[in-house]
Amino acid sequence: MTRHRNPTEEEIRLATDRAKSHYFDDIQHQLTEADKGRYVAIDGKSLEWEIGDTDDVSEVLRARVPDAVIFQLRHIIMVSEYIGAVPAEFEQIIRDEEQRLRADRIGFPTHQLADRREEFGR
Amino acid sequence: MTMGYVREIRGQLLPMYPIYVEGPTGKSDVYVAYIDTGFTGHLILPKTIRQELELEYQMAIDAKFANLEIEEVATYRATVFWGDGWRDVTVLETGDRPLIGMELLRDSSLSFDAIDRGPIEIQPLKPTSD
Repeated sequence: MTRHRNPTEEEIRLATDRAKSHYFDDIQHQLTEADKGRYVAIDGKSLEWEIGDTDDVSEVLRARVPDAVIFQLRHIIMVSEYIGAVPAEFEQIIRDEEQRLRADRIGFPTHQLADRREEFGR
Repeated sequence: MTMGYVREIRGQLLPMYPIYVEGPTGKSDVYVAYIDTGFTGHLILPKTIRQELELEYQMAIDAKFANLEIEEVATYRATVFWGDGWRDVTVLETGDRPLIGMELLRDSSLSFDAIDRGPIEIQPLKPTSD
C-alpha cells in the first residue's frame, strides 16, 4: 500500500465538516432503515463515498480516491467507537440481560445469603 | 510470554500491560498501556506517541465518551506485536495514556489479580473443536 501524506488538523476539521454536511444533506436520504448501522466512508474533499458492512469500507474508498480525507460513520447511529460509554442501541438488550441475571441470581450463592440473613436477624 | 501487572498507585488499581507498536516508517517502541474493557476499539494512543511513530492517518470518526459526549477522533494505522504475531490495528488519537480496548482483546482470555503487583495474563483462545 502506498503511503499518503497525513492531512493537517485543519484539513481534517474542514473535510470532516464537509463530509458530515454531505451525509445529512444528501447521502442519508439515499439510504434506508435496512442500512442502519452500516459503515459509510465519505471523502470530505471529493465527496465520493462508499457504504459497507464492516469498518474496512474506508479502505475501499481510499483505493478509489488515494488522497481522500475520510470521515466514517455508522448510518443513523453515527458513533463508531465507545470509550467507557454504552451504545444507545444496546440499552434495551442490556436491560433485558440485567433482568435475566437478577431473576437467575447468577453468581450469587443464594443459600449462603439466606444463612447470613438468619445470622444477622434479617 | 508478555506479562502485565496491576499496580496500586495512591490507592487506585491500574491494569498496566506492555505493548510493542510499530509505524509504517519502521519507527517503533514499547509502551505501557492500561487495559480498558469499556473501550470498544483496538488501541488509543496520545498525540505525542502517534507523532513519534509517524503513524499514517486513516480517517475521522465519532466516538462516544463516558461523559456521554460525542467527539470527533482521528484514527491512524499501526502494527502491534500481539499474542504470537503481528496485527494491523486502528489507533484512536485521544487522551494522555495508551489504552488497550476490547477489539484487541477479541478471541483472547484476560485474567488478572486485582492487587498491587498482581499479574495480568492475556492468552489467545484456541478454537474449540466439537
